[in-house]
Amino acid sequence: MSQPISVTELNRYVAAYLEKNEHLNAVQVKGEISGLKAYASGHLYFTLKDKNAQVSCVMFKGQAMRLRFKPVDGTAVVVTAKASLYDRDGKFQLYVSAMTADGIGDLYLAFEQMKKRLDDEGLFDPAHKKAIPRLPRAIGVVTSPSGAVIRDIIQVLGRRFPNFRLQLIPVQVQGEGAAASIAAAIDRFNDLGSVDVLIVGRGGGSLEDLWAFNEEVVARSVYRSSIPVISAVGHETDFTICDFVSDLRAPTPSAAAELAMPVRSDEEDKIERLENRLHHSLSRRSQLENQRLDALLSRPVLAQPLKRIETEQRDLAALVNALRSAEQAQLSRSERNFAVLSGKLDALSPLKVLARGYAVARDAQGKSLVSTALVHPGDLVDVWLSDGRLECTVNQIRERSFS
Amino acid sequence: MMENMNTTPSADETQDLSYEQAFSQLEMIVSRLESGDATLDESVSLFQEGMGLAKICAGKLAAIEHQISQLLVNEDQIVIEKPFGEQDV
Repeated sequence: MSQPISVTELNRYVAAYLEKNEHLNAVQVKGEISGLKAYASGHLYFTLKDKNAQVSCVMFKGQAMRLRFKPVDGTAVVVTAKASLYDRDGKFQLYVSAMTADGIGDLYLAFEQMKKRLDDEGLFDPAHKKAIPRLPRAIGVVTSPSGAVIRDIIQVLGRRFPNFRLQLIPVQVQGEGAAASIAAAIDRFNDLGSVDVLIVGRGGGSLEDLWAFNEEVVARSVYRSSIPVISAVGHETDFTICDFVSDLRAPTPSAAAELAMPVRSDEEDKIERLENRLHHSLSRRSQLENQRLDALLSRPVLAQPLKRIETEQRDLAALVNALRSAEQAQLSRSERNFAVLSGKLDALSPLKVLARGYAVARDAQGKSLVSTALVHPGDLVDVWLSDGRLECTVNQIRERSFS
Repeated sequence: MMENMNTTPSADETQDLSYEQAFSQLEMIVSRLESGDATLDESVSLFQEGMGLAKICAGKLAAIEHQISQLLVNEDQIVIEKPFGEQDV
């Protein structure tokens, strides 16, 4: 401790000292990310902390690019890093070469992050989902050409619909390039337009094995497919992004085949039942119409069409008879009246009275003399008899005294 | 709707019908006929139309040609269709 050293020398010394330590050269540290800054350069700067302490971290672009999930503040991670001193600032920091999600695993975290992002973007929107056709003229399958999946699908289809038509685009379902080959196959089927429905899938496996079906490129191709897509990835309990984007999720590849194709004999039975109902319905209708016609024909007006006329004729005859007798009665009554009246008239005729010996006296003016008071002695009176008249002069007037 | 139900679809129209379209039209015709709402003449043409649709449906089931193939891309980036059999699995 004699000669003072420069700051630069000190920092270099400490840095070299730290880097010599094997334990600090590749140390795994767990903590929570905070104050994360992602620079345009691609480098990530953040602080890793626990309850009591914190340490600065840097992850350079080359390593950061390989991250499967997107680190954000609050993410619990395990980093693999080299501990050293940034000599310019005299700052102790970790140079991170790898980072995994702590606890849940980074694939799971990546899955959750992708799911949320695509969901927010609307890729899982039920309104976008297309109906699976009831009878696809051909089924497109995107899976591995070897293995149980295609075999199961072919077997199930054969059982349900012996003359099914299937086109397979063989793809790699796991490993490097798998996602791209799956997406390309879906796009190819859409270009060709040769099938009515697509089954995209693979058998069960680890999250790692199924990973291709969680990748964005697959999700995008499923979303833009105009052919309805049935997703059948893994087992019943496995869910992939592809399942969420697809138009229908099948729990297994066999189930996908069942969802894609009806049972032919079932369909034939249904058609036959409908045909029977057509026949039955029409024959019932025609029976009904016949019955109605019979009922109409048996109504009196149609069964005995002349009856009404006969009745009317009878009624008319009766009326005519009644009219005639009424007329007759009226006539004889009139005749009788006439005889009586002419009898009376005859009896009242003054000539008849005169013939019996009575006379009518009249004055010069022709007025009948009904009282002695109407004449005076000396008056000329005419006395009418039945066969002529007497011109007389009144000599004397005697009032009635017949006693 | 009424006009369509009373006229038998032309050959072109029935060609374009999907299986589910033909099937649901058939179902509609059956229930219309069963309701007894149609006149006798209408009923007869509904019956004929229904029988035609049933034939179309059955025809579509039979028309599918059994084939299992795989689509491969050759070196010229041309898609070729090759039979795919159990031996390939």
